[in-house]
Amino acid sequence: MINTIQRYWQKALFASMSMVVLGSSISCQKDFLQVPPGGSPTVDTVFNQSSNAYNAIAGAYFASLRQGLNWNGYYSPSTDDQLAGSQAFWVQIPGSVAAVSILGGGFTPNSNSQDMGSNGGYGNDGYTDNFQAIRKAYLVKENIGRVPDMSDADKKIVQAEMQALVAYRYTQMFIMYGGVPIISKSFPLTSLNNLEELAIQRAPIKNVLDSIVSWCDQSAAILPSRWADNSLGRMTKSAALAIKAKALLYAARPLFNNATPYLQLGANNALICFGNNDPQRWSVALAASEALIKEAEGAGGLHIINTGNPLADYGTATSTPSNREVILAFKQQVPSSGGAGPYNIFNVVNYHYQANGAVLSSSMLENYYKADGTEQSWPGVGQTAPFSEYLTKFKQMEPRMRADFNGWEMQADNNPGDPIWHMNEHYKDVNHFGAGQPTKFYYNAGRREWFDFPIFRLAAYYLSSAEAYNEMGQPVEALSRLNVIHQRAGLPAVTETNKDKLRKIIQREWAIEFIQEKYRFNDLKHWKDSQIDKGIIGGPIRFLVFNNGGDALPSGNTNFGNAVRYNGFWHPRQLLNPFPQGEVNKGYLIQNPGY
Amino acid sequence: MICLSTDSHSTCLERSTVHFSKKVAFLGIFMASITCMAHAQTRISGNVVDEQRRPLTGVNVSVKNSNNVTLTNATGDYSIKALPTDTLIYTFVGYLPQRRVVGELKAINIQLYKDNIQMEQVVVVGYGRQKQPTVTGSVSVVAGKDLVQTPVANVSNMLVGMAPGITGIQNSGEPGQNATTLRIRGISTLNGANPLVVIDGVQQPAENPFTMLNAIDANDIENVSILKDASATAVYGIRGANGVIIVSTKRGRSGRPAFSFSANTGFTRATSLMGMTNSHDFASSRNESIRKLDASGNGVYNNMLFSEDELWKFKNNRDYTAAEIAAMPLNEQQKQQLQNSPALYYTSHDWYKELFNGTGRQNQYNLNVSGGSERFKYASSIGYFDQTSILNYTKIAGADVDPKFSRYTFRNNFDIEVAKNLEISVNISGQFLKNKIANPKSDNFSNVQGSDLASRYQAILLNLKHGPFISPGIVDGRIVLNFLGADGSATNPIGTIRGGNGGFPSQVINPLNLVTRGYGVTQGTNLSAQTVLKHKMDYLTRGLKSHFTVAYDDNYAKGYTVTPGVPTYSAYRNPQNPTEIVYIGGMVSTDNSLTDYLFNSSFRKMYYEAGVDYNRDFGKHNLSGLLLANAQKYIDNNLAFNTPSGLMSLVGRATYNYAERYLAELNMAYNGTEQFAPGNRFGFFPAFSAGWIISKESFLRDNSFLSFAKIRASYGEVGNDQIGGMRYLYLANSWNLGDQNNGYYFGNTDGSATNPHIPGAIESSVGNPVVTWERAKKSNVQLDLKFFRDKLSFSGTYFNEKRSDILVQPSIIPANLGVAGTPVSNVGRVSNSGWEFELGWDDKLTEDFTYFVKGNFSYARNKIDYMAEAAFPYSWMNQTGYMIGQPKGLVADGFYNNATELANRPYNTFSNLVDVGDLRYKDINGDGIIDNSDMIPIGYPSFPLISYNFRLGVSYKGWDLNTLFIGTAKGSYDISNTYYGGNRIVEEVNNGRWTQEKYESGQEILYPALNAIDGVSQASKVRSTFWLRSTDFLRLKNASVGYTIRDNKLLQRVGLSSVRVYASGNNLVTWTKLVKGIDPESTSQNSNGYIFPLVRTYNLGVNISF
Repeated sequence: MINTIQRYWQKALFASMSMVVLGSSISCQKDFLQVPPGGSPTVDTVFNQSSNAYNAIAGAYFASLRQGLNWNGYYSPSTDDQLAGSQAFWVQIPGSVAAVSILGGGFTPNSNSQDMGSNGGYGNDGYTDNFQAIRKAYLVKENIGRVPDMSDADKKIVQAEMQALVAYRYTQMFIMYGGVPIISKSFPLTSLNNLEELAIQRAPIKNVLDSIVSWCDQSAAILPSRWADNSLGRMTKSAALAIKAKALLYAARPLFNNATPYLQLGANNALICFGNNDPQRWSVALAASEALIKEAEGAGGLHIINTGNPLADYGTATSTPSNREVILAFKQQVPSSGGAGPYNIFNVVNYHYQANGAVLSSSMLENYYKADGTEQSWPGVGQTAPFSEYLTKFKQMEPRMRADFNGWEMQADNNPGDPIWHMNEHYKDVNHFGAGQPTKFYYNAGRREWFDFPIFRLAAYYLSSAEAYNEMGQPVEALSRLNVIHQRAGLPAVTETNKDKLRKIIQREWAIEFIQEKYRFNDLKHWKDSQIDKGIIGGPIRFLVFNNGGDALPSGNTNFGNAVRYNGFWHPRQLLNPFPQGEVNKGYLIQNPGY
Repeated sequence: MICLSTDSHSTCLERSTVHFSKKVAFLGIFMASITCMAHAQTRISGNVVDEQRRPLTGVNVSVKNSNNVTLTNATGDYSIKALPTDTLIYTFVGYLPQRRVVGELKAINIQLYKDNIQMEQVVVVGYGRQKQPTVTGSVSVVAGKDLVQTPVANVSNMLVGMAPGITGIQNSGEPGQNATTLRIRGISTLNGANPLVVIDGVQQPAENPFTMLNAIDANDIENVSILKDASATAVYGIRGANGVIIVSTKRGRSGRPAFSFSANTGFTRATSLMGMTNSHDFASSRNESIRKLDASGNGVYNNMLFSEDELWKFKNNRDYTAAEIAAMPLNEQQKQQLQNSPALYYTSHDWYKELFNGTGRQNQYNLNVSGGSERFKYASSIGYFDQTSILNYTKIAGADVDPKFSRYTFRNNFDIEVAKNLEISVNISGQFLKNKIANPKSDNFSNVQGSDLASRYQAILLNLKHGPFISPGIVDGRIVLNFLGADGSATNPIGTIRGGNGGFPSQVINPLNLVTRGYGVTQGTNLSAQTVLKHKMDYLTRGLKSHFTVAYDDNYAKGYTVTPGVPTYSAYRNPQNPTEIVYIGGMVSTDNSLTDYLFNSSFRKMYYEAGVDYNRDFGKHNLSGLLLANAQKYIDNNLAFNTPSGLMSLVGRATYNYAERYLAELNMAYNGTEQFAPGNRFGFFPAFSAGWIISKESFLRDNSFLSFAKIRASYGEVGNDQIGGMRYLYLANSWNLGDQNNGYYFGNTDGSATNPHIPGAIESSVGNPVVTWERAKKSNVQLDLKFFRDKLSFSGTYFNEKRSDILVQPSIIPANLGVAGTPVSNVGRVSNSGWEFELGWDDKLTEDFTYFVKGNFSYARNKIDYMAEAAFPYSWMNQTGYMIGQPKGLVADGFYNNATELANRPYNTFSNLVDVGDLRYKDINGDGIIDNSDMIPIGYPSFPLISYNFRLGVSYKGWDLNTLFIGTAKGSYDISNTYYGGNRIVEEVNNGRWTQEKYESGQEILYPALNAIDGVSQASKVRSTFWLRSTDFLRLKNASVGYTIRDNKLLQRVGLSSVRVYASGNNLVTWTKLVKGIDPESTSQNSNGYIFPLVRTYNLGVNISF
């Protein structure tokens, strides 16, 4: 009896366990091994309604226009100026400025150097990021047609916007690298199985320029001159023309517009040089900037802000969001602390040491005029003067300097009366030397922690035209363009007509007007500035020093002088950036000479 | 109550158990009566006890060459019928068998002795146990009793040096943060290399492999098996490639309750502290550098020069020279007083020593009881462990930030025979952990995870570099943060000149100011519950068993930080009467503030397993088989995509041996996870192994010289699915809709408000539909020999592994593609091979004097065969072809000793500010400049290639002495990465620096000149062969001396069965050439150069059994 029960029970158990074994291994498999709920959005999801597509458009704008900007806490317009010798490279330990960076050793193509051409350090902004932005724009351009709830006319405009974004990236690459691979569509992912298809080589600079020009022309033909208020920030006809004019200006300058390249690249010289010096390039550039000015000031509704109040006008033009001098801005309106915002650009509300450290160098300081248009006399190297003299001289300077820099023991002139904008309030722990700390882009900002970085300001095209007219031997026209900007700054009109002297003056105007706006570093290179290795980027880099060669104090400073803080490195190879070594290793890119 | 049947014999479960026990009795009587009828037998009765004279229950008593068998009862008594010519055999698992001829005896009492060899002869392997001699895979076993000899907190720390093939690196000596990263047979993958941890048959999650292991009280561990080759780990399939650590906890044996209590108390000290330069030497060497900089045209630091008087003050710990005092308008007594008054301003501190020269305490208690009847066996324990740190200055003004780790543990393991053939094992265990850490903050005072050692230690140590006089430290029990007055004034004389103070010349940074940085507390709970049903199915066929397991693990941790309000002061010497130090303030730095909900983590895991196994002898043929299925689901808030991670497996094993002489085994697993695309989810991992016990052959049998010889080999494939937290890589190109970090702001705001944010929609990742697991092809050949009746043993192993299908982000895809996340692909290949040797001598000189020496040696070297790397112009710049993690650096070639050498140097792109005394580097590619292309593979990765250890044990009468020495070779530590490495503050660097005088007089120069204001110049700090130092070391890892009271009568009188008292120590003596203050068992990779010293432990303990 007992045996029967036992057997029965054992069988039952065995049977139930067998079922569990089988059950767990077969029937539960689908439930047990899960996938993310709801699946994941694909390109089809994104372009099946206009609201999603609008998000993709926003994503493409952000990715494309962040070029060279501080979108992830690493790189900033200030850094451009630091590389250009206009400002100090941020550091906590005085004296190591020259050691930590490119300043001391030059660009290298390796990712562990903080250059802009690689994928590490400041290279977060680097070469490879260009193609990520370009892909985002092309994906929108190619797929927008599938959106059911959008008019064909709107779709065409979006496509033109996207092509203009691509053109913008190419203009920036053209200036930094010379010829680069021309990508005119997004790659299907099947190309991963055929890397040859992806290995598009560098195109000659002429082809890159031609592509930019044709893309901009196509886009400009379609883009609206103005957008509704809630869409301000999107590509306009003026913006497309501005991209084109910028590319053509750099194409006309001597680095590219030359019979011989800056360094030999043998059979590949066309990647870095046009191979001839063609004055015609200046007239093409001039035509482009004039066309832009005409469109902007006409249908575009833009103008040079000039109310006769120099500091306020310059402050508004550079700082106030949506002002009518800005053609295109990077509208990333998040606080500095967010990491994706204007992280490195000085604002006392959300101070960051990289920003505070970007103090004004002596070589740049000496570019500024006094408010009356005459030259200021700053102490030479080894000379000292009483600190009170520093205060006096600072206050004698032209409005643009006082808007862009806060001197020691002084109130920032671009935020008058606001106590937190007094140096004593934001004296922080780095770089207590130099003529002052940067305050640009925060005119009357109070506690606002963000700003719209002006990518293209109308003023730049007045200077472009001035530069082109002068190179074409038309000084009168050049002066008429130059003085619009020069006089807006409260300075007396320039009258110099000697071509070489006027070139220097125009270049000086570029330096002053556009400090921290990402021009200076590339301008110096494309002008092949003769002083570049003699105290500007390379050579002895001077800064104002205080209290017998030391640092400025929050208060109680005794004297000031001028001293060499570091010796910058310069090598002609740096006239163009290196491609990242990791990319060159892939075997399809020809490295720029010297790296 | 479950009714099992509907027929007339319907019986419910509860009652059936009663019937079963009656049946057992009935059968016994029946069998006895049969044998009784056949022979004229007498009844023998008696009692069986163990070494401690405790009754042993369940001892098998049998009559030789008959079927007559009985078991001892709960009091150890037995009764059996036998002929006077018969021999009785007493056998019990784990004890040496005894034989007695019956003769005329009516009562035979027996004492059984533990068979230590026998204990080790059953080896825990994946999903089962095997007899040691028949194991054909590569398995090392560490006994629990050996683990507890090491008085440290974590099992992972205890395992280092215990078995060949297991190596570890420890990152910190801080309580609660001092676990070891373990590797088995080195590293064979570019992705996750953690071994799988299995505790009592339950696999730990790959995401948290060591959490439970490190929380276990080692006293609860019976043994640990380390599975190394494919044969041993194939049953774990895609989790097996990195090796497996199986922990088995102690289970009860039938018998009366056996209590064991152990208590340890000890203290810890830093193993080694970095020597800091004193103020006088620091200041004078800095003066030297400033003058040198000035001579080269850099006068920036000239205002930081110390005068001769000031150097005198530093040297003599005084604030005023005799001349200065003489000039003061003070009376004679005041002058005298001032002359003897130690410095407030011109102090000299060894910050490192002051911070870490403390003594930590450590206590451990464990009480366990085991015993039971035939039907019900139990092993229960409760344990406690705590540890405090070596940090000083953690208790000031009522604040207490002293780090402490404490742990309460319990464990209950029950084995219940609920019915004949049916056993239920229930394990319930838990650990309650509390970890208090000092400074839960990074340098900028933001809260960080306790495990973020780099940030936390940086915050503690960053300010040391500024110099030994950067702060007066703790003066008169007060935290002084400032001197009062302008820099350079009488009340703040070294203000500016102190320099290097992050631009705060007037503010003192006090490295001893730990209390105001607060503390963090994490409280964690681990609970594990496990039920195993084991069913013997001999009724179907003999040797067949089945089992079913359900296990649940749960981990929860939550924490908070407290920043206590502590008074801080400004100080100065009263200008009117400098003998008087005035303290201003006593301001409470912050209110007692609390931040809650930090350090939170939780995970839980369900594990199900069901299987059958079969084991039977057919004459000399032994056959066994195993087939099981398991499924596990891991749920963790930190998992990407918020879906749990699941794993399902089918496991099979078949073994065959002929007379335990010819051995063969087949292991396999068929695993699947949701990491891979449906259709691709399941992978098959087989392994085959075979062995030959040569000593069982007739020509070697009973050979007293070569008493044992065995050769075995295995080959198989196992997998690894640890791909660094990435999940669902097979999904098609997915887009992120509503991406807040990639959106934009369109609109016409004038800055008074922001425009509306439009989130971005961007392509987020590129899928690879064929993504799969790593595959490891492993082979293993092992030879085991024992000589002189097993006194001398030798084992040698060669292993080789080819890991393929390693998931890599190929770097050969042109950037033109423009996809943000590089698509992954299973194309990586790594090979790894090496040797392991073991040698042991175990002897007994007399009954009272035994000793053993055991040593082992392991070597493993890997090589990256392929990782889809775009080739650099110079092969040495590639990673491919070199060891995983091998550093690349410049080759240092002495110093620039004179201007001529300097003038002819190649341009250094890392920094060309080079002066005499700086390091000279070799221009490897000969292009005339020093740059990245001159960085070649140098040194070794941080996990050393060679590790060895040896143990010595002696016991004489009641005394025992055990020592463990461990050592490694071919490992590297980058001391340039150590913050102090290039710095003037490190005594060794400062004293060993290059100077013109030393060079000219031919003295030994150990370090580059200090050409920068803070020490070694940037040009000399670049990673090079100069800074990459060997971690080779030999260390007396631990030693213990114990005495066991052997006077049984004495013990019985006090009711105890055994008492052992002992003293032990850990990390006692170290022989290494590494810089003082860096422990060779640590690594430069994780700490960023900021070190919390590892500790040495001195410990006293007692074990009492009763």
